[in-house]
Amino acid sequence: MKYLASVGTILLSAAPVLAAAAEEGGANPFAGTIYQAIAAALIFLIVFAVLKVKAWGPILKGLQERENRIRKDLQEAEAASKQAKAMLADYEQRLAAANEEARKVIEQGKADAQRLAQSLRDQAQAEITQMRERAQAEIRAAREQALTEIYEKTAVLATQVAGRILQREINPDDQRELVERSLMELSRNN
Amino acid sequence: MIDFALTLAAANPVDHVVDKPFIGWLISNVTVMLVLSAIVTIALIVPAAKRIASGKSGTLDDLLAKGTLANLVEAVCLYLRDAVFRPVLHEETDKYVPMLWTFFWFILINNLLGLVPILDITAGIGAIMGVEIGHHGHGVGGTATQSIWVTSALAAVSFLWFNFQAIRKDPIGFLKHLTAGAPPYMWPIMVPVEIIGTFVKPVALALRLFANMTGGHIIVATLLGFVVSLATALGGVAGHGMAVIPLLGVVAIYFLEIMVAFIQAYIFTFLTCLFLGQLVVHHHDEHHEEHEAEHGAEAHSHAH
Repeated sequence: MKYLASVGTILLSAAPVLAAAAEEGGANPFAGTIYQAIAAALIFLIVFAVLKVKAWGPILKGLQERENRIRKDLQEAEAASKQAKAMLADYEQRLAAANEEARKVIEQGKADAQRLAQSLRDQAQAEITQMRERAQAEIRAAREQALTEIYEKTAVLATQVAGRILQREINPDDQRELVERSLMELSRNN
Repeated sequence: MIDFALTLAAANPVDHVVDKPFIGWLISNVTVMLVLSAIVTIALIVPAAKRIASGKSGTLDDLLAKGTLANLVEAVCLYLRDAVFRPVLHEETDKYVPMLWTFFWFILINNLLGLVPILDITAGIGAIMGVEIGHHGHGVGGTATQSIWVTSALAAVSFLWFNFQAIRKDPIGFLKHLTAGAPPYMWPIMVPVEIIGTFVKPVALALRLFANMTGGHIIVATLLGFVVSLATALGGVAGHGMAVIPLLGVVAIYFLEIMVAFIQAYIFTFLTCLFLGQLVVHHHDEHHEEHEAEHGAEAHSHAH
């Protein structure tokens, strides 16, 4: 505010002088001489020369270096992006191949397992059949042996009973003959 | 006070914008302001350039402009280079950009310094101290670019520069350009027209800058005259109340003048770039496109 007041005072102080100057008349907006033009051209060229050396060179260099850096960074980013895309495609390809391989392995495993299971089933079935047949044979043999023993004991008892009935001793040859005859009859009856 | 006001109100507003030599025929308001503008321009740009230039620390900070001033200068320079000059000059932009930047900043600083009432301040100081500063003690200051001599000089430098660059790059092409690409039987008409056009360009540059800078200042001086006239001639509440209206007008015109200062610096630089581009950049359909661009720019500047 104090500053503004000072400026105002100064401007008001200038007024009488300016008014006097205005009264002199002859206000020509084209006033001036060729010397002002020469001075203007010279001053401009001096400014240009100074700025060319001290300012425009460093500024242009700075701007160009920045642009080069940005261009380089963009190119690197583009190259990195391309590389990343290529790697992604490669990985995807590898992943697909790995998936295919895994699928094949699983299928192979399933097929092997099925084959193995079938083989085990067949083997178990064979063993069961074999065991059953063996058991049946053993049962049959045991049955035949039991029957034989029954027949033999029956024959001995029968002979003893018959001997007692006939009051005579039956020698072993007679007994064997009787037993064999009885067995044959039994076999026929069975 | 009232006497002064009446005198000022009756004064010719044009007088306020006229250059007045006060030491011989060379040292005038204009030459002093040119020197001041040169100093301000250099003092503004050179320190900024040091902060825009690449550092050497090896980090990304090297590529950044440091500080408000450097960013201001860089933003303007970068905009002009990339958005204004490059579409015209293409890959040759960096070769010609120093001169174009100098035109812009020098004219802009001149225009803006012209808006500072240095003339009135120095006259006031002189009056208080009882010494005559400037022409008959009416101060030192003003706007250098409202002198037709200064704008002519700048236009002449521009004209000589872009023609010299064109001749240096391709003398045959420069001569061919005078035929405007027309068939030989049209040359008797086209060559004189193109030669006239070549010389009209700097005249247009000089007159445009001069007229725009002078016009605005005369309007400000006239409106200020109205303020004083209303306040003193009518007086009282009514006179002082009505004086507010032209005073507000002065404020509005001042804002407009700030805008004009930038626009005219831009137009002068842009047209210089365009004229240079017409001569040094050759590509397909150049005449058609460039004449269109030039007409567009002319229409744009005439709007102001």
